[in-house]
Amino acid sequence: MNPDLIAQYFNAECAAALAPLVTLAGGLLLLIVAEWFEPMNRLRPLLFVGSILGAAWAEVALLNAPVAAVLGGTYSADKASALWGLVFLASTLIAWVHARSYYRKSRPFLGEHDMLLLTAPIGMMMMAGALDLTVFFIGLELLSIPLYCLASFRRDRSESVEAGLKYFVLGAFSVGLFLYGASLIYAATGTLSLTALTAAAATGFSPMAQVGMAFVLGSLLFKLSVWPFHLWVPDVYQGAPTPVTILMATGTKAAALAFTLRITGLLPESSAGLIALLAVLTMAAGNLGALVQSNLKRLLAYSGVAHAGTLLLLVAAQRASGELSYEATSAALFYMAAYVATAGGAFGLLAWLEADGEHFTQIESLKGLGRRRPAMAAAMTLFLLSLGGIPATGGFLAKWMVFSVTLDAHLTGYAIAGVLMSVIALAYYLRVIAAMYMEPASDQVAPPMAKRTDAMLATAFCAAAVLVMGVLPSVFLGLI
Amino acid sequence: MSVPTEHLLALAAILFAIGVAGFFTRRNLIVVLMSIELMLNAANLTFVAGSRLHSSTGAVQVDGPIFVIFIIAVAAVEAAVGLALVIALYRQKQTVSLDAFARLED
Amino acid sequence: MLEPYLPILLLVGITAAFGVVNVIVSDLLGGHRAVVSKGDSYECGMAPEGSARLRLSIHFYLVAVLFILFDVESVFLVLWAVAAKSFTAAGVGALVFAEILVFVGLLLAALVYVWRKGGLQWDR
Repeated sequence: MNPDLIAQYFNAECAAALAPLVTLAGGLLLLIVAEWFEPMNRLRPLLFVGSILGAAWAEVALLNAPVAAVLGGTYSADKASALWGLVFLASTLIAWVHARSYYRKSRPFLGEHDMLLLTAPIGMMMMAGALDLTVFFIGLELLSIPLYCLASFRRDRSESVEAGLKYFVLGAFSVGLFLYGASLIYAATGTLSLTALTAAAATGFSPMAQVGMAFVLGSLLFKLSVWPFHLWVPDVYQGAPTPVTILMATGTKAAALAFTLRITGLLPESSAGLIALLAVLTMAAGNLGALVQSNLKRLLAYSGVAHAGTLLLLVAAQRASGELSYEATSAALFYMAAYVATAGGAFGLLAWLEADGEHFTQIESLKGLGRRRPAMAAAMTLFLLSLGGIPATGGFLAKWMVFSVTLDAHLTGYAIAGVLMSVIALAYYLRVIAAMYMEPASDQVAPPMAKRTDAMLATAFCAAAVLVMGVLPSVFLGLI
Repeated sequence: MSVPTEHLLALAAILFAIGVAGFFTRRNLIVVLMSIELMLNAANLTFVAGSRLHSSTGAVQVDGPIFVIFIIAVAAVEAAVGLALVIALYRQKQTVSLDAFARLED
Repeated sequence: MLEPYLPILLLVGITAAFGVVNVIVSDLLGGHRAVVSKGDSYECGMAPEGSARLRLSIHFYLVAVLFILFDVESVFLVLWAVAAKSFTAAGVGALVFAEILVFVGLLLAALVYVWRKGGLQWDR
């Protein structure tokens, strides 16, 4: 044995950096083993929550003692990656809680559902921590393939199958773009390490590497659902089971954003204006699309597109200002943490109502919710106001941070356009709130509400997070 | 005497173009999946060619070939998931054409 | 510029010539007798029966996919096998072998899962 060589790669730092990933993977393996024999199936919730909490604990440990780069400089577990990891874990846990009663008990393959759901955060963490294109690719696939399956999990419903297939076909195409782009970059520069590539980009990329970078960026913009790659979003979000939509809307976007921010150094400096323009167009496409929707899931999907536009503004600002700034990273983290709480809460409420047997697909069906279920309507109002960016909610501060970073990067015109777009967005959020409180209940009788302690806790957690982020942001900002 | 690396890169570019063209023009889902596989194989070929470009005798660049191995494994998984989804669609609609997608609206 | 492709051109030429020459020679030397059964489709010497366009059981698909998945995973074993000697020379052979054992163990866990779920059962 050659201890020195081993110690170069596998040491205490490496163990700490990989602890969250290994915890989740171990939990996944135990979930598979639990499927071997029928009586062990009851351990499933314990295993799922246990691995999520274990991974979260490992991330918190990393937060106190961050690790720069391990495994030959291919994976980083710095402070930002650890915080991204916590965001992913929260998003997965919210999705899982709402999935528990969403599918009827008779639905087969619930064990597989949990396995797939637990694989997704592993992929997200690898995407956020990747310092090498290979690692990012493996993370991307670990996230995407479970999501293809989960989106079509209700095989008995044609919308669900179509959503899964649509997501799969477009997702596989974007992966093809990414791979060809990565291969061109590799053929031009001879390296896949982001550190080496950033150094090479500083002295100027060859045309082949630039074409490759364009392909890579295109596939990332697809995952982020940026105009003109956003057309799949409403269809897929609407057709997929609502708990899965939670994960797609929050976790996937966060993971793609984390990596996009990491590779802005590879983009040519002149691209900042173009990206900012795309950001504004995305906001416009999302907000104008949402204005005309009467379906709630589609409305929230278009609102997600608009939020992706706001986040892209951050990417543009970072490219314009040069290096990875503390402000841009903290704005991205705060924005996504707030978005996980708000969008997770809003989609979660829809999943809850759906699981209770109310068919909440249309805005009209929310009529009179304020009287039927006051607490639920109040929570929904809070989430919608936060999505719209009303002061005293997390969403307001998140937007404020993004726009101030954009202004610092001298993208003034784009920042102003972004603020105007946010005002337009208020119109459709207020329309939903008005339907809940102002309009009389339809004559339908509300089905009896089942006691759902877990969904209630998840919603209360989201609502509390939104409020705390809005009123006492220092609690969160202190972590960053 | 061996094939110049530029030819490999050109072949890969042609394969990629065929894949993209097939993806956008074909309506049959199986053919669409085949087009995506072509795109992945174009990437594989470029990775291997790039590795040759940057290797010298005695010092072989292995990053590219290792990436290729991962792409092959992932392509198999993607094919399995994709075909399963196509079968699920066939059970619902008795067709494997992209035209089967209803416009999901409201 | 194109001379590296000369062997490929030669190979294509020889294969094409082999096929063409065989057909021409057997046509020249062989007898010619028209029999009805000669025009039939060839099915290992048996009389053809039924339509060729059957619907196959979906189970073939499941087995095929399982085969492909486990088959492709073995690529990673080949990588290890190729590099095993140099790992041993560098003094990390045992560690890498343990890693491969973990990998095979994961595949085994998945295989047991497939088996318990009835994925390997033919008659259902």
